[in-house]
Amino acid sequence: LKSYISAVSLKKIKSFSGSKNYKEIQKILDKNKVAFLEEFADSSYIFDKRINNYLKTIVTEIYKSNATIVPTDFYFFIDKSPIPNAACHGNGIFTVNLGLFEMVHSDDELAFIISHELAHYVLNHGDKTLLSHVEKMNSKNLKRKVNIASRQVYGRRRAISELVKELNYDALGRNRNAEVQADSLGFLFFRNTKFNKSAAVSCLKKLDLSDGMLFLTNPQLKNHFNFDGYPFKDAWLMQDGTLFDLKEKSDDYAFDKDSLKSHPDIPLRVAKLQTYYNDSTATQPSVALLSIKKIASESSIVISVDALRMDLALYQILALSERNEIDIRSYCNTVAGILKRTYELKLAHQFGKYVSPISPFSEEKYLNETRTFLHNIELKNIRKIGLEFCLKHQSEMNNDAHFIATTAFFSQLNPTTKTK
Amino acid sequence: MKHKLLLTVMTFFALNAFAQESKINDVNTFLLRNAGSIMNKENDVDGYYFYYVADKLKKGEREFAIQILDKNLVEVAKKSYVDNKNTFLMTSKFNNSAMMFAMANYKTKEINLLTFDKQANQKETFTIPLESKEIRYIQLLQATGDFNVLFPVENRGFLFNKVEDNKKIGYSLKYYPTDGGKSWEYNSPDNAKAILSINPIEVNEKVIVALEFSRPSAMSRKITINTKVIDVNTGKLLFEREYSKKKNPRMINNAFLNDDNSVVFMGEFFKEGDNIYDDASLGLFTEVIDFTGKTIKENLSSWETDVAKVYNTKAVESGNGKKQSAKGTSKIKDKGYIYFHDIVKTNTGEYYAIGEYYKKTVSGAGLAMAVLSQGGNSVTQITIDDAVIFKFDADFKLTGVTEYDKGKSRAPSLSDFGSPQLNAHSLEAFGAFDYEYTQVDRKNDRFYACFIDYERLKGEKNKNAFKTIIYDDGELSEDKIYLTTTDKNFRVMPAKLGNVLLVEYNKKEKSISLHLEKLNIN
Repeated sequence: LKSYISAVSLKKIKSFSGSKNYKEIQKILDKNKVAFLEEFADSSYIFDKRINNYLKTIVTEIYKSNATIVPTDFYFFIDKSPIPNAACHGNGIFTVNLGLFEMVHSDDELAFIISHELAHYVLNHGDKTLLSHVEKMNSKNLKRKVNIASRQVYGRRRAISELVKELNYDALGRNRNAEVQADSLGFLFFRNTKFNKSAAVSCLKKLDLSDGMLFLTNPQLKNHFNFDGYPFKDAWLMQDGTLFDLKEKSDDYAFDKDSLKSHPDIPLRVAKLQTYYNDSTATQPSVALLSIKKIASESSIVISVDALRMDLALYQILALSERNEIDIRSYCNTVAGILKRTYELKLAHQFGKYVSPISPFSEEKYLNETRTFLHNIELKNIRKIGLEFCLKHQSEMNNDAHFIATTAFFSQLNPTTKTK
Repeated sequence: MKHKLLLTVMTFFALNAFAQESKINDVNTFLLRNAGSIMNKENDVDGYYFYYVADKLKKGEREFAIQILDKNLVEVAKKSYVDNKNTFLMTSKFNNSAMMFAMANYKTKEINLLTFDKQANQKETFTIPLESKEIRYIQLLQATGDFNVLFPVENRGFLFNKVEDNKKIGYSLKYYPTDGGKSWEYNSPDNAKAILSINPIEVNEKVIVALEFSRPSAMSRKITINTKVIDVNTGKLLFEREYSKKKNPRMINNAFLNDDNSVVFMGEFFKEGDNIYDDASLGLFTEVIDFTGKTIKENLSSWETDVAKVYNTKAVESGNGKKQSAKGTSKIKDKGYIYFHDIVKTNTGEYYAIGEYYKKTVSGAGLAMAVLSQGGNSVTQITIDDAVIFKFDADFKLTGVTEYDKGKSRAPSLSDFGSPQLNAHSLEAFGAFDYEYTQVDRKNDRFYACFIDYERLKGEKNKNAFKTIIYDDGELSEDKIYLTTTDKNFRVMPAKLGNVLLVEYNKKEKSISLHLEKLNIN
């Protein structure tokens, strides 16, 4: 795959040969290649045959129904990120985040998203955006503006900041147009397939609610960590007092948010799509997708644990348990393992390095609650919670060597409490 | 985890690929001028501030940016502030309903007190004219770590402690309400013949407790401490208690207010006629005084009898798990003196005095330097030894002593002729002791006494360690963070209660990361 990444990157660079700003384009694309290779080496992507095969069935259906798509050099990488997203890199590389499999309700929704990304490729949006950026940066007008601003004796930073704002708005406008175009062409691709057409609108509507859509399951921490021998303490969920009573950061230097908010792009895109198709037949998840969702959820937990993101890992496993989507053995081993790792990280004064602090502005109530719990519990609490959890599930996990080892770990930390 | 779903085409642009971008990045930056933590009187960190120069403006003005992070290091505000170019951020405090920043300027000879309400909106600014010298004095006093320039009055306002440079040096304690109340000031007498300074150390909804220090001249060691209890609503003095050389010489280490309208003072007591900075104390004391100034209760614990008894009955424990000398002889005699940094009262009514042993010794290097400089250098030094915690019951009877092994650290004696006490006090002001600070967690009835120790380790490289003695559930335990590993260096800074802020420098990646870590109670 490394050779593939290098090859498609080189091919892309070559495609610009003879263009006016070739050297700068080459520099940018080279840097992008290095960044992608670094991510690749850093294990940012997951390679699971089951997920790849499932994705392949969706993608193949789109290719089959759309002869205009020539999938030469295409490769779909599965990014480990739990954030539901997908992207077209413009050189044949596409990325689909693991979190996307968890978010989509049906094969149809996933198919529309893939169609949208393929449309970006076909419409050459990557190249166009790159060229537009390079031209803008090299334009006489911008050069003149930068020079005037940077030569100012007074208020220089603010003048430059205004220019940056202008550039950002410009890029934002371009991106919005590109997204609308990709929706339109993506929908044309999608319409040719066997998938349920109403998924396009339902899927986009979901994206609009995206921030509020994640982490919706109440992990019911108290149910999982309340024991006869060691009752749950409400203080474990107590949040710190705040300096200000604010819903968002008070930033005198932020770009004009109202201006951004006055053009909400997703509702605009939904409205546009509805002009093409406005039927709302409910879509259903396929058996294959349900299976992939399970794999994605479980993989996501392993990834969170490996990245020492104990808050995410604990939230994910408890949420699965609450939704009855995890077997008891995986649940017991994962929760006990998270408690053990949390203990070790706290002992080494490294927990805060990996688990984000609680932001007063975060809307992710349940994830924050889990995070608060993990931040607040102390070594003496974890020792007891760990042991009580292991003892509670001892009978169900009788022959599990891994669980027995974790139980022994906590027993050792509680020399006065004997295991049954 | 903020995320906006894009389903987009990826367009990464290399930074600095264009001359314009490089220019933009160079100009569009904020230059950090200084930073600090926003701490309350229990040394609990409410947040952090970063003070940047954002832009150059006309008429010698600058646009500054004040970035405010909450106690969890989350940026909650970035405020623009325009002032003269020489303005610097002296300190910041939070009173639970408002935040105040003291912005000082030597050139314009003023301190501006900026206030922000709970919505982070800038409210009234108070301008205090004062001489450059006075600003410098305030800075010097602030640097000792024992001087509160700004002191928050919970939900009501702030006290600003101004140094007045009249014929002698005096003070003016000004109260600025943030709840719509009335302001007032409490000043040292204009005709005072001594140098006077004041330091508010405790406050509740009724009174302020402040220590007034008085000395005849700047170089004088004749210090008189006046404890003043002032009505928080009016600024009127309710009573004062003088501890002078002639009258009950005492060193106050701490004070706190009881719910029954009384104040408890804690510290060391001395022989009548002794100088608290020159002479060895006789022991430790607590004194409970009501708001009329009447002593309700006094407890003394002397080194000679009470403390020696504890040492001789082998009640001295080692917090590091090592056995003490079986002889049971007083370690104070072996180790010299104890410098007490703080005394904490627990919710169960017990008292814990936190100190370090120290001794005056002869320094080889100092001796050599003295020979070379023909006697110009000091040959003695102060050797700082183990940490020690004295435990007293509610009647201030010493019930136990716990010692914590620490490597010996040495600081040059400031004078060969001064007493070890005087040197210790001076060195404490320079931060020469290993002690860092004590945090008191009233809600959970805990305290955290923090030290930095240079550990001499067998078979491996010596290391600096951040050590915390933690009181929890009636027990003392110790936590340790090594400040050097093979690939990383750490700096430890105060953080919210029970936590430290680790500034981690990765030597290989040459990167810095900040993270909060809980102190571990074992």
